[in-house]
Amino acid sequence: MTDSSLDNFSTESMEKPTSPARQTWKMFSSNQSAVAGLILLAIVLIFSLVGPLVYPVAPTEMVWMPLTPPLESDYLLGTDYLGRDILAGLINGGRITIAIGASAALLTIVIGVTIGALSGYYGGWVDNLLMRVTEFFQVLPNLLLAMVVVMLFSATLTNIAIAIGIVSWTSTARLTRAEFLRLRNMDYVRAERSIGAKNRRIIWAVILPNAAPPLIVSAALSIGTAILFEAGLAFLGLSDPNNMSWGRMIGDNRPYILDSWWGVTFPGIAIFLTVLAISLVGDGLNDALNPKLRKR
Amino acid sequence: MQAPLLSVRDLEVSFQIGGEEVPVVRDLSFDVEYGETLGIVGESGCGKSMTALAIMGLVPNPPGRISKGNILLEGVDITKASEKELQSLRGNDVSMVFQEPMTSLNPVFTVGEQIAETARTHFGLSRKEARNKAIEILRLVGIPSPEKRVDDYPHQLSGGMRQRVMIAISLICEPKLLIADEPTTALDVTVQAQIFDLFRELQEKTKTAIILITHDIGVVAEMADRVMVMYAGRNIENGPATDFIRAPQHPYTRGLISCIPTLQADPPDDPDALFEIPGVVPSAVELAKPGCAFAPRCQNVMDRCRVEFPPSAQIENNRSVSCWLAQEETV
Repeated sequence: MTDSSLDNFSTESMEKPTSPARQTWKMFSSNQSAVAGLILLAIVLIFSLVGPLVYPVAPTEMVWMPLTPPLESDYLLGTDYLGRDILAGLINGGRITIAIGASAALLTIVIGVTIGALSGYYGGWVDNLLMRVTEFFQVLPNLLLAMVVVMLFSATLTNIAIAIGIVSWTSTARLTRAEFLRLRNMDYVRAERSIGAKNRRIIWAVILPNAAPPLIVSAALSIGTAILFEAGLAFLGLSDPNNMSWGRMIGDNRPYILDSWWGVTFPGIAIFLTVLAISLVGDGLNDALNPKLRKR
Repeated sequence: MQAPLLSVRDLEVSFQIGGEEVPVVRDLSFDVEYGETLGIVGESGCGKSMTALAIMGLVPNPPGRISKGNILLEGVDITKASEKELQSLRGNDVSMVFQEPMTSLNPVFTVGEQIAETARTHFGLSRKEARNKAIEILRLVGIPSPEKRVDDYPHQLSGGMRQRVMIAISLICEPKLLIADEPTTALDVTVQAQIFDLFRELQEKTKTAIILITHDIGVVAEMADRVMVMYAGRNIENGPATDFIRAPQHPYTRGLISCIPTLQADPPDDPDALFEIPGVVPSAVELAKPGCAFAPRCQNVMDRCRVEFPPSAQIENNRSVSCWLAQEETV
């Protein structure tokens, strides 16, 4: 066997190395509902990020007669019980809602992955200790704990995001731990150790990338959960008084629901569509990242 | 005379099995000189791989641990080294090639990234330099068009190519000792030959000592300078490879060599053509009994064998065997 014959063989049979990311995108883009979710998500993002520049009405200002129905004034979607513009609320509230959702999800992932990774990798007493802590958080009623945290430290955006983050990391931790337990005895981990890799590198640079697929899905879905959680807290009156959010709009307009259906319906639809979009994208990622469904 | 590179003395590795501590490697002593190839042969479950892991300081703990003895690598005792010292030893002074090339590479990174990462952590090279180093070492281990293969993911390479990559990774830091744990068991026979040629070639260039673990006597005859035969966790025969093939001393070694089928014999007509050693390797728990572990399967068993374990005795220059019969014959 000569080198040149091998050369020919290899150049013909495989043109481009297909990286895992590229394979995933190929799989994702062939999934219609996932693409629909992605487009919907893009629309929501553009609406709430670019919106304030195009439509500069302050969401907390009283601009017109209270409880004006949609299409009856310059304010397209009507006004709420204080005469605040619903459309402006949707646009600006979207920013806040998505920001809280994303940062709470980030916190969820950071705490969950760290605890799960250490617990699954080291095992023994570390695992025992961290899993007992996780179970402690699991048995506490989520909403109640989050309410207590928000009430104790005042309802600012940061505190709300932190509260959501610290009540929802447990499932991520368990998922990460399970993945680490599965992967820590793989041959390539042993091989990595045999050439002198340190624990820190094995955890974060060897095992974690291999555990990434289910974690990415979980991260995507937890943004949706966090948005719903924020809406739930705001509905109960625990929202930042200086910032409009979708949940707060529903909460504020709840007493007037019989007089003005528009006050709660529009933010409700906004939350529904956003969470739907995130779920579709999450499901699409799940399918795309699952090697069993991937076409060779 | 120069002190040996690796010196294992009275090594015992034990595993916790059902609340009891059972030794799987016992009273094991051997040396590896600089630049030499030591073949370790034996059946499955005789402690070959555990010996290798012990030298790497990688015995899975719990349930296993090194319960006795010393492993001196250039005077440093591995059994007493801290995890930090072990980490700097691994890769730099001693590294290992595993049996399964199909699963020993990380599937989410290109082979270039995996080689380069090692080069970067050990030599502090920049990304670009490390990549060039990776290409260079891929060429050294005989991978064609390494500039292209460096960006391949492991699943795009064949088993033989992957094993070459594994060897590349383990050799990049130029260790003084390379442990190859059945490096070709999962590979095709033709590829096996290529891999062994590669080992020999690299050994000439780098003067690395190799511990070659295998159950293939043919491989040992071809590759090793010295051979150690293990049975039930013990070193039962140890000597130069040529003597070992020509005049095996221990009945077990003789059995192993008779197990190799020859071209002269024709199995269908000749039922004795394929020799096998009767019985199986006793489990670690059964070994607690006194006497020679091989006695129940030995054709030349004597009464003494069942009650007393034969100590390792020098029979010729550089040659030792643990067998009462062999010792009587030479005396």
